[in-house]
Amino acid sequence: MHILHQASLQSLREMRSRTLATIVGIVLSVALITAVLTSVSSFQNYLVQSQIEAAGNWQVRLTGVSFAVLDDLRSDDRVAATAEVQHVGYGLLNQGQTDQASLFVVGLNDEAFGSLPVRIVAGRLPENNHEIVIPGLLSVGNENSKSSALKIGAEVNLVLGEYPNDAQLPAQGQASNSGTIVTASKASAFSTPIHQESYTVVGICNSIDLGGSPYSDFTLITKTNITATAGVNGADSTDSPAVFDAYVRLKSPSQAAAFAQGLDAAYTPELNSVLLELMGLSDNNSSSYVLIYLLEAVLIALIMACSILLIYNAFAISFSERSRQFGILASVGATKRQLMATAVFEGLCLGAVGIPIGLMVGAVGIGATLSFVGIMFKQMTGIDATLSPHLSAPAILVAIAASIITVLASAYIPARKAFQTSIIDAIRQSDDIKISARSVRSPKLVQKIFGLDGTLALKGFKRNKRRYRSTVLSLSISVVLFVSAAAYGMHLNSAANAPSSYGFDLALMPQQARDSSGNVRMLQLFANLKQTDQVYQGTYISAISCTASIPSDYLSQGYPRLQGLVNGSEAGSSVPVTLLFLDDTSYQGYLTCLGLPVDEYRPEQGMLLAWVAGGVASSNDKPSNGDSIRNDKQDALQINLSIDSANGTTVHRALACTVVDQPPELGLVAQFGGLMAFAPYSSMAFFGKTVQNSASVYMAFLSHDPTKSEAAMRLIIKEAGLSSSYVLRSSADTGMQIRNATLILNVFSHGFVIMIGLISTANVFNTLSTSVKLRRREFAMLRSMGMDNRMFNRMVSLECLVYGLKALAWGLPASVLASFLIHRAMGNATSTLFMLPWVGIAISVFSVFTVVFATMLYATSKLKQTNVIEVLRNDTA
Amino acid sequence: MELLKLLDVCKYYGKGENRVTALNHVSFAVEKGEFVVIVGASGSGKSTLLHTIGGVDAPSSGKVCLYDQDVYAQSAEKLAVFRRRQVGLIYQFYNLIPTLNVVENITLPVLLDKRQADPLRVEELLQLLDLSERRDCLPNQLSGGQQQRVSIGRALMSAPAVVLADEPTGNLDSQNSQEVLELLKLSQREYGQTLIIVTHDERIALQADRVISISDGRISRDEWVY
Repeated sequence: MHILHQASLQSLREMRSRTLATIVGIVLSVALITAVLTSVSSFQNYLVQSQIEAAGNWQVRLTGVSFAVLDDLRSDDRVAATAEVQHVGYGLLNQGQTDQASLFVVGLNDEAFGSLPVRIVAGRLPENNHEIVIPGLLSVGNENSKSSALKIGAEVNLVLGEYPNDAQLPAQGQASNSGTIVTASKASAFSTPIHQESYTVVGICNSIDLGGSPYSDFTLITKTNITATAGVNGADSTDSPAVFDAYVRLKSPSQAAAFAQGLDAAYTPELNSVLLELMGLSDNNSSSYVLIYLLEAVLIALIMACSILLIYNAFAISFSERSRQFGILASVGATKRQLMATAVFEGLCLGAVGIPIGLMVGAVGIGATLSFVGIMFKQMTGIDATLSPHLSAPAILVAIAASIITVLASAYIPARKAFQTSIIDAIRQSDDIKISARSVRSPKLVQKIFGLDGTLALKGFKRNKRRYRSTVLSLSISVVLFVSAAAYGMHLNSAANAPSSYGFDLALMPQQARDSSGNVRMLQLFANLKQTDQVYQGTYISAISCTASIPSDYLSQGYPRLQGLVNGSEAGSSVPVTLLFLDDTSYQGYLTCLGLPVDEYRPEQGMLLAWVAGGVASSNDKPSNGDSIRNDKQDALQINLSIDSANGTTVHRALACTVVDQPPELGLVAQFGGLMAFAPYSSMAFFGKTVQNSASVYMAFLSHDPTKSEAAMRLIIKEAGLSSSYVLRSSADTGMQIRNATLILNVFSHGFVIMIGLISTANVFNTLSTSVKLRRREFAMLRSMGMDNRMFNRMVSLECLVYGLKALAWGLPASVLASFLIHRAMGNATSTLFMLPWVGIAISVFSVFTVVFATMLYATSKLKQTNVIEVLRNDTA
Repeated sequence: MELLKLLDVCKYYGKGENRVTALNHVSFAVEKGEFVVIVGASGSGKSTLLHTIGGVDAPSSGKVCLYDQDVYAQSAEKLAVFRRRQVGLIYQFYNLIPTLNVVENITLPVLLDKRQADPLRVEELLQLLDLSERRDCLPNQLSGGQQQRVSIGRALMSAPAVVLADEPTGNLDSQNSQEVLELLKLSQREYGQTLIIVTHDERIALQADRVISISDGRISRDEWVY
């Protein structure tokens, strides 16, 4: 080993406590970097798993291929597995009757059941080609006839044929919207039946969403046994006319694009682009990870900045302390390059110890955190995929690279600075001589109040600006981060604990907006649900999206600006409106509450009620989201409603509107937002039947015992056969979800802040203890001249006080500002008063002084153990 | 033969009003094998002169030439090599590396040159310096005289052309002082080295070939001792 490296190692060993603090700093920063990268890779993995859950585990899809192609895929080396879906045929349910529906029957092999997202809502999966599972919609039937509903155990006889090329049939996708009835005339499209099949319904499943797949909500699933020897279900494979879709999972997913390109275009190969993009294998530049990567980069930059501040400081101290040594080495002929190599070597040695430990600590720490958070995440999202710790090799490599850069940069920069001092200055240690009297001048007042020890303390603090700045900066950063995290947590908690912020105890909502199957039956269901035990109030809401033409002088100035209509036309602007029909009882209650005449406010009378979410603008100047209609006009607002109905026609109605300042109690207005108009349910006919058919149904209830009512309601809903497209939400659930989310965010933000705090503590410890050590000769001299322990302690304590106060003087105003910005950003600016996170501030003030005093106590106690003369003598060596 | 030549060397510290002139147009030449003592009051500039000759403190103006080559015209890298091979510097406060033992401290210039230290040479020096028994000790385990001998050993290790000593006996008692001086003179004679010592000690000055007096950064007297 080179003599300089040897000397370096020896000095590292000698300065044990500082070396240890530096290693701790490296460990903490590497652990944090690892934690951030692992969180992101775990989250990425979670997204991939969720996508696989939602749309299947495959990379390339081939549609409408023959058995021969399947056979080729099976023998292809690049293919890991193929999920095969046989097109058994298209057919009609209840053929010839008024409620006949077009269907598609597919057969899945075992692999397909495993890797495609077929989830059973009730019953079980089919075990042979005579059993079938049906989508939830068919289990409900349609609005005209409940008798068309299929139940588990039912026998279904179907005449299955090919889908006609000159299809006059509605596309399968459209069929999903409103339970489209295929009319008798169109049924003739299936005039070439190939085979008749009879199936037993064994289960109800969700609709399969494979990302633009050919299967609709009216796809029935059976099982097929596709073997190479016997062909489909035992039939001869060679001349089988069977048509298949193949979902290919490759051994190397990154080859997906190349694999798809290599296939015959006739097989219409398609890539599972969403999954590939989530796996980071997409060529698409607008990757969904850009934001995540950006956040990750910002966090890592913050960590690296804090770590460099610490590790840099540690090296800077080490080098400045040894600058005399470096001067001597240079004077006997060491080149700058040799000295730089020493610095880098030192950095690498500390890194070699710190980085592996940091990687382990980070991985274990985030592993434990994610395992804990993962459970809550599952409760929150309701998705089967779990957020579990996922260590990825690239993440580890990036963590190592970032850590090495941090360590080397921290060693290199101060080394370069240290070696710029002239050799003779370094040997003479004349740095201290350079301080001017002015820079360490202390006010007379200090001398009067605190005496000589106070003055010495202040001078001690001021003598090395760079060092005290770094200490104060480290402390201030920690204070700001801690107080901000506390403020953030406080706002999250207040949001999570806000009473009755949902406005309902239980609500039935369509899973996707604008799902409007079965309105008539829904009214009956509402009546049943309202009778549930403990339920004391309920509202039935039919919602329709439409637009309204509003005279421009009724629009606030902000609205046209928001919409990009700088000069709103004279005739008026088109504003999106949600038209909500409330059941008559609730509507009357609403009018009574507003003190308006019950009989007048009906569309038939030409009157509507309107309300704007987020408050109505009463002035002209401030644009905001809800700021569209002015209510400072006394006369009623004339609007022209335009409603697009499902069959493509548009209904127009001209109405007078009264803008009111409060929404109906159980209006679920948070679901809709913007401008809302209200009318009674019995007036729906006024807008025509087509409009009625395109409304989405919502129900909201208040209950004395929501848990009990929820259980009862679930039973009623199940009996009604509503299995897939509606969801019953309780505000208790929502509250728990929000509380879980709050906890997760709090865990991460506080974990991050505590780690940064530890880094800062290590930094402060390092800087202060070395600063004390470097002044040992001075202290020894003071003691040799008769400074007793009491005076000495007082001097040190006063210096600590100055450090602490200075750090707080910078940190606290910045934290208050940060808290205020958080308060503004979290949208509480208008609704709640700005509150300072007092507890967080108190903890950070306490911690700052604890850290400073503990460090000083440690350093000075070490100092007191040494002999005065020994110090004075040794320092000349 | 002129080994070392200083041509109009000036050295200033600080700027503006605070400017201090440490060396004021100093010129002289030293022959090979000469033993020169530089004397002067405290703050007269004698140490600065020595460091300027030794290649550790560049002059503000003027030239320092060794073998007719301008020392400070070289690159930083070559200047380091120059210090390593041509000059041996001895300080009043020894300036040893506290983490290296006696042998490592002595062999430092050779090791920095990426050469193996000749064990015979090391032994010879240890014998000469009477440090054989203490070869593995760290500096803080040595007495002042022993530490100074180690620093002399380091200066002599690469048999430099010029040995420069800044108050080498300033911290030593009279017996140790005489021993150190004898050592330096022995080396000078043995290797034909040029020895330049900065000192307050008149006894040393009396043993020199030539005494240069400095006051206020100027050469006030330059005399040969016979």
